[in-house]
Amino acid sequence: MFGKFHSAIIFAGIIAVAAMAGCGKKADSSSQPANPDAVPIRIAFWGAVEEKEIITKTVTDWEKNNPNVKIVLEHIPSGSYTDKVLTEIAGGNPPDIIFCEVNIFVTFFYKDALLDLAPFLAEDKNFDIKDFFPEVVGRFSRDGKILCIPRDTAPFACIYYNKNIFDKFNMPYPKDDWDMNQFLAVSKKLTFDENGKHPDEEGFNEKKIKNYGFWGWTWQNFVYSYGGRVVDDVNKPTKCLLGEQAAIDGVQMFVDLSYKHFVSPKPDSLTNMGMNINQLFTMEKLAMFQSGIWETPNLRKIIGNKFAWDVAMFPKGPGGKRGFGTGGSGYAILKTCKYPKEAWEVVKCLAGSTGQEMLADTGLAQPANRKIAEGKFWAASPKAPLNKKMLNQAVQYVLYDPFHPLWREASDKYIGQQMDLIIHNNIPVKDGLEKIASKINAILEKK
Amino acid sequence: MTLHQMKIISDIINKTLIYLILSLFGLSMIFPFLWMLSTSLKDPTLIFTSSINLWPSPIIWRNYLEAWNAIPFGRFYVNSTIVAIAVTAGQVVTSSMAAYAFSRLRFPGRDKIFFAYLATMMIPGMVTLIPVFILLKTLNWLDTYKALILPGIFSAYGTFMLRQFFMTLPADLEDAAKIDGCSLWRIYWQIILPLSKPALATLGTFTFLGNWQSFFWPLIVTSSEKMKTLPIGLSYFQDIYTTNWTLLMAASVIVLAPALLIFILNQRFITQGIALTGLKG
Repeated sequence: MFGKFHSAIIFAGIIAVAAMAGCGKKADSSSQPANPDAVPIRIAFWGAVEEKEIITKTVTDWEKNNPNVKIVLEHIPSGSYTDKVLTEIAGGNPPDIIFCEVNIFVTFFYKDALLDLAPFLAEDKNFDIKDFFPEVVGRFSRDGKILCIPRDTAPFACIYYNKNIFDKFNMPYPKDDWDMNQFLAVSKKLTFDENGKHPDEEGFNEKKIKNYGFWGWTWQNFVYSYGGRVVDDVNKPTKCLLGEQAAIDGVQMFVDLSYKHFVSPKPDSLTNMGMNINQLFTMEKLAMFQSGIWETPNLRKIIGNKFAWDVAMFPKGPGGKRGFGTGGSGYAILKTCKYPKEAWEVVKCLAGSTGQEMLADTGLAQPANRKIAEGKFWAASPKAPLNKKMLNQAVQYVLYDPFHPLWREASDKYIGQQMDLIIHNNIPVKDGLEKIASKINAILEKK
Repeated sequence: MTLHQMKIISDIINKTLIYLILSLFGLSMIFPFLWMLSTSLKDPTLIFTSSINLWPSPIIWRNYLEAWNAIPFGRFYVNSTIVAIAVTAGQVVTSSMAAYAFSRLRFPGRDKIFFAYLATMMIPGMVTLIPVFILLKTLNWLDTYKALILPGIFSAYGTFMLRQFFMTLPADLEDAAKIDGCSLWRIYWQIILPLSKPALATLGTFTFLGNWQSFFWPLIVTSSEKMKTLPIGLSYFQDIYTTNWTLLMAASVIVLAPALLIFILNQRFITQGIALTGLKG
């Protein structure tokens, strides 16, 4: 009996030793004959399986024509991306090129980690930054420097709608220039309880709603549409404006959709149903929802030919005001990069047309390059949603999150917490927003 | 009704109640696993329905194939296995040897050294993260098995746990062996270790499970696909905005199976070990 036990320990020990002996060599990811003089360029990026394949294909194709560069792709899960890259920078093993989302960009900017790309742009005749949406380039520019080349933009401006449900109620499809009142009226008509009664009708039972008209998550859009702002100046925030009347009106409208007009599921009832919004929409229990375009690949896959759907622009607010929160991303070169010239060529490839076209074709991301965004892979693409060109109009109304080193932290801590109370209708909108404003102001006043 | 009969009846009632309560707890524990299993076999459109339906219909076996093909699972599996086994073996060997020295041998400053070693448990891993990373980079070990394995094979916790256990073993056994001319090494090997199987199995199982699930450290020290482990692979099914539930759950089942097997095989030892040492992971 002892023998058996001991041999188990010895066996485990042998495996341990063998594993360590076997790892003497560094893993080499390429099987092609490598050019010994090739310059190594490491790219850190994230993305789901399909996006990763597109990026990998883009750079491997490029590598074939550029044997002087050896590209090393470092695919990192999105949730831990910033942690991993910051550790690598702090530990002296940074990548050369990083994929940057518009808010992660701010973090890297304040770490002073990014190389100014303006000199490359000035010299390079084959690459014109004017081809890109100026709003997106603006986010990545600071003090006359351009620190990141945009890949895609993602205004939270889409109202996805189920054409089937509109047809059933004989309603015209939403138009991009509709306003908040029309939007509310439509939402009410498409919401009904188990007896088929709509929210404004006699006998409507808000506890037994069968189909909802609308759901959205971007309270910012409502603030902007009512003329409010999150801060006084996105690029140089000095004061939080969420406590002002316009912002309060906007968020009040957002909350009222669930608690006064009953057209949106309440956060609690969503939890009770155990469903997320995508599921509600694809199961045809929700007529419209608001989000960014990135929902598209999933919707295409799940909906298939079950029903027709499209997107319309988020409605105008009182007085025709508009404004959308936005995402987006691009590629930046780190200051520590040893071969910036070669890295620049790689960035051009990554932000170049092939990759953007393939990505646009999947529906996941709106190209930041206007020419591609207006071309056959996006605005003129025959794939659902057909109204993707609307997003090219929407870009002019985007408002980024405030550019401030502590914004992400402050937003998670204060805005997230109070907003949670507000959307659960636990505190009055005004109280919550004023609290947020005073907390955020305390942070902005600190120099 | 006699007194005896009444006792039997009250016994039955008591037991029924206890078993009912335990079953309820058991069900609530097992429910997430059942949900995982059922989701992994469902059509993506049928995951979130208004009524809870654990029986997938139709059963989509394809999810497993898709999940398996979506990432280099085979390679990740090999990596996770090598790392978890090597770290476990290393920790059991180093911890038991250290624990034997700290509990049975007499040398100057023994307890001071032990407490100093123990004190390292108080330092959060995040504090040493970057120094260790720099060390590994200087040694040119990043993105190798060495980086994944070596920092994990010494454990103050394991040493502490085994030391406490070794101290409970009767010293007479050792004295008898010494009288018969047994060397220290042989005492450790032939007396202490065989008597400590429950404690060793507990440490081994917890170390294995901990390393099998370990996410952050492998994420930080690996960069090529060839060196990544299963938990990193799992995270690829979740993107910034969307989660592919069916594939994520299918992949989770694939990842969880060996860990579950290890636990079931060692369950007897673990409960013994916990009862004997009063510790758990």
